[in-house]
Order: sequence, then structure tokens, then C-alpha cells
Amino acid sequence: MRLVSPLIDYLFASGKMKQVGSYEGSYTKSVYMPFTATALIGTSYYMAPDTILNSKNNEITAIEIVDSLTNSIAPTVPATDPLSVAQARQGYFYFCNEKREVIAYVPLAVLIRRLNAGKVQFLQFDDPVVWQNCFIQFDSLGTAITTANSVWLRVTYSPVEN
Amino acid sequence: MNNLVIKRSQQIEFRLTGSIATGKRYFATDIPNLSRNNVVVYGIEFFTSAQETTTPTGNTVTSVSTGTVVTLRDNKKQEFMYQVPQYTLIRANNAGLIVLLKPRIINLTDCYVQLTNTTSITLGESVAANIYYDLVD
Repeated sequence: MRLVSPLIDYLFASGKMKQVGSYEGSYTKSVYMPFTATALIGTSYYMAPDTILNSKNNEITAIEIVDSLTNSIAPTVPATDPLSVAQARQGYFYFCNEKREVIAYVPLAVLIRRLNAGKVQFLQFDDPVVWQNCFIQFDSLGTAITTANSVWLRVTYSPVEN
Repeated sequence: MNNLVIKRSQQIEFRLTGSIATGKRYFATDIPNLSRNNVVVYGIEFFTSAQETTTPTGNTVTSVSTGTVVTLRDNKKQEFMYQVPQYTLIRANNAGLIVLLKPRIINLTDCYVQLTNTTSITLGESVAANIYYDLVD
């Protein structure tokens, strides 16, 4: 027998809560954002257009930052170093909709899965997120981020049921 | 075990201005789109400089959480979350779980933090947090 309080029931039903070990989504892919120059404070680094993630046929259901301890080298060409925790704690990821309105933003460091005891960050946006409108911004750069670095995101998504 | 799903989120901050003193209330700074009793908060997460060094408004984030308590007030001025240690609201201290709240309309600028210990706290720093919310219909 499993007891469910009305509050937990409500949070589940409204999509505000999920079991931590539950289904993340149908598909997952890694997205890399290399830097063409040393990162600057206040600059918006937009995600590259992605035919899958931009599509209204897919919704993003979870996101994770892969840091340099999770995987030491990103498989970009040329190879780059994923952000360290010290670098990640200087920036934010902004989720934006079709009108470029910011729906949510989260510090990069809290998206690193290993720092959350293996728990991925679930997402469920009523307003569809347009991937190429999402961006990363740094508000301090005491630990420099150079062209040797890239941001490695693992994005999970599911087809939208029409 | 359950964890929170982000539907909408935004950073809030409690700027430590005036003087640094224990017991003094440092209120949340005004964010126009969140300060009209128009958001129903269902989760909250606090940060120190271990998670973010600077807030999006350019203020340095406090480096310690063990001397700060947090109070949230709803739109009826009820302190529904009263003097909760900031430390317990940091995700990394809770095995990655974000603290869930019974969904409530908050009065953002009525919410405040208090210091119980001023060690390693500097004037002008901010206590930073993210709220997870839905808009009021």
C-alpha cells in the first residue's frame, strides 16, 4: 500500500514533481557549446540551432551539465575541456520561448548531476522552449573560460503527443 | 523519493545592506515581474558561492550558509516558512533534492533573511536563491 497525500498528488498531477529515478524522456543527446574567444561577463552565448531540439515536435524534459570530472575531454573538433565546477559556478543557463522571453534560469553548477547525488534536473515547460533562443551568460569570470573550454550539455527530450 | 520539476524559475536575492548585524531583517530585493503577488511558489533553493559566485545583478554571493535563516511570507503576511536555516535549503546538502513547498502566493518583498552569525559575511553581499513557481491564473 502506498499513501499519497493530497499535496503530493497535486504536485504530481500538475507536473511540478517527479520521482527521482523515474523516466527522464524518450531520447537524449549531448550538445556542445565551444567558445570562439575567451568568455566575457554579460555576453549572451546562444545555443546553436538544433533541428531536433528546436522542433515543436519535441519537448525538453531534463538537462544536465557534464563537468570536467564527469568526463575530462569533450568530443568536439578540436577536442575541448568541459567546464570545471569553478568555471560553472560563474554562469547561468537561460531557457527561452519562441518570443525570447526567459521562462527559467538556473546556475550552471547546480545542473551538474554528480553534485546532486545523481539526480538529474527535470523540466516541464507549458510554453515550448526554442533551443536556439536559450543562452548562457556569465556574471563573474575570476576563473577564465577560454577557447580550450566548451559547455557540455546533455539534453533529454520526448516527442510531443499531438 | 520525488524531486521538483522546473516549470518556471527566477533568481531572487536578499542584499545585505546598511550594516551587518545578527537578527536584522534583510528583505528580498524588488523584482517587478514577481512582486505583484502574482506567483505561486512551489519550491525554493538557496545558493552560496559554491554554486554561484555572483548574482545576475552583479552582487557577490555569500560564501557561508551556516549563519543565516530564511523567512518567507505569503500575500496575507503570514510567515509560512519561518527562520529555516539557509544550509538546509541548499540542494547539494540534501542529496540533490530541492525543497518543495505547499504552493502559495508569496509577497516577495516581505520575505527576508536574518543572520545568526556574521562570520565571513561582508556588507553588500547577497544571499541568493532560486524560486520555482507558476503564475497566478
